[in-house]
Amino acid sequence: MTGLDCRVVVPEREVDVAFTVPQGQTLALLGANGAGKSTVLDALAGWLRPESGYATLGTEVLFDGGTWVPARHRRVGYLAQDARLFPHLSAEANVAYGLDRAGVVGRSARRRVARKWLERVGVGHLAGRRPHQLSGGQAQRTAIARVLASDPRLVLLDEPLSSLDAQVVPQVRALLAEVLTGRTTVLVTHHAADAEALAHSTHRIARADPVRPPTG
Amino acid sequence: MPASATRDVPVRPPRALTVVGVLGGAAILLPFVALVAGVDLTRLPRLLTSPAALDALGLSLRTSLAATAVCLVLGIPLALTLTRLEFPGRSVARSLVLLPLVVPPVVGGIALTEAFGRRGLVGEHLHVLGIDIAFTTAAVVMAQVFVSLPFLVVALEGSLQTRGDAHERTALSLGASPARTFRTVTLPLMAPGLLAGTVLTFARALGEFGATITFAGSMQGTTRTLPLQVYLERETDPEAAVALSLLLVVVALAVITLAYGRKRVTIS
Repeated sequence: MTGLDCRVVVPEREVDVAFTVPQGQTLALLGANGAGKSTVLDALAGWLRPESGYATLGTEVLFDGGTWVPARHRRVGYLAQDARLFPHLSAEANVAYGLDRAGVVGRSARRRVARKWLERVGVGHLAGRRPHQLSGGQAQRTAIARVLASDPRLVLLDEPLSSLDAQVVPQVRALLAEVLTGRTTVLVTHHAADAEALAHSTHRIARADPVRPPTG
Repeated sequence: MPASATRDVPVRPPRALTVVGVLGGAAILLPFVALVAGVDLTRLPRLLTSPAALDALGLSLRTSLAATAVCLVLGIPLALTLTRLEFPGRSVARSLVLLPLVVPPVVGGIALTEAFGRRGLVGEHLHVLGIDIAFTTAAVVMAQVFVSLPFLVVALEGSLQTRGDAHERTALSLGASPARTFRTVTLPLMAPGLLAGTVLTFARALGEFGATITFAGSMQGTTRTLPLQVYLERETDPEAAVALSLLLVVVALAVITLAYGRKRVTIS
């Protein structure tokens, strides 16, 4: 079983990146600001249709010259640096949101599974709280539970630790390492420590920041 | 607070600006003060409970509520289309939606007559089917929808644009259908803009005069809303006009308090 195989070409942003991620492993995508790390994640998530390229996940095509699978049908989970929890829903309801896709049927089953996930990420006691009542670390833990509870075949992490207070970073990093076990994952990060702790391999986007000619 | 208590030091505007600012406030408030002062309290109950006044008030409330409901049904999809769908001519469309805000309402009434009057573009076909809109209560509601829909759309567009679509993307990437995303994410997150917009829409519909009298006429119980009644009384019984005006002001104040008086719900 193969994992992710992709090439993303976006000439407007001078991006041409290709890599593979073996099934169940994590690849850290490194590179300078503006090198196109987020562009690649957007294309894999389904928010950006690259001019050319392809992405296959196992045997299924996410996109290529002729095919474009919309984001909601990809089963690709996306975690940004801010948690982006739904502000009007409790932590539990946030986690339950993606359980439909994971095949969890019925209200009580969804509640039970959501609780279990919240406990697993260490915020089980906060299930009834709204996002504005959570600290940054608690919110990100909830967001991690939400992404993984939806049972994605590919997980995309865009700087998942960089908006957290320094003292909670090691714990959330350890949590990610645990829950990502066996998940095919692409991690975008600036921090060597993240790549070291979470990734099996790294891919550095070669292109440096474009050198701007001096103005005037 | 005792004089020794700790206080923040605010940045004050220049004194001269404050003076002019107070004048600006007076320009808005003085007429209302005069209106209240001009009311004969002993006659007020009788003036407000005359059959004509009660008819007008009832009609105004019914039509304004109906118009607000129609605006919600049409305005939410319109605002979403204008902010979330890319199509050629979108910026032109967004400007055109504002047209009823800037044309005189009487011009709106003429335009509605040209469209839905008995000999109008659409109206003549409806007439063949036995449907006549002009000079009915339905025409009152249509005139109110015409002038107040932009208020709702502008309020919703503003809140949709500042919020962006990150939460919708999250919902879709969790596997939600577009319909579920709208119902469970977009609509609830619209709530603050929706509340403010709905209140403004209702207030504008309640005050509508020019388009109504032009397109719907002024028939007691059918199309003569409170503003039309005020205008009519002004000729025959100025005191009644003042009393009814006060009633409209009180209703408007209540509406504004409802929308802006409560603490704003902030959604990050």
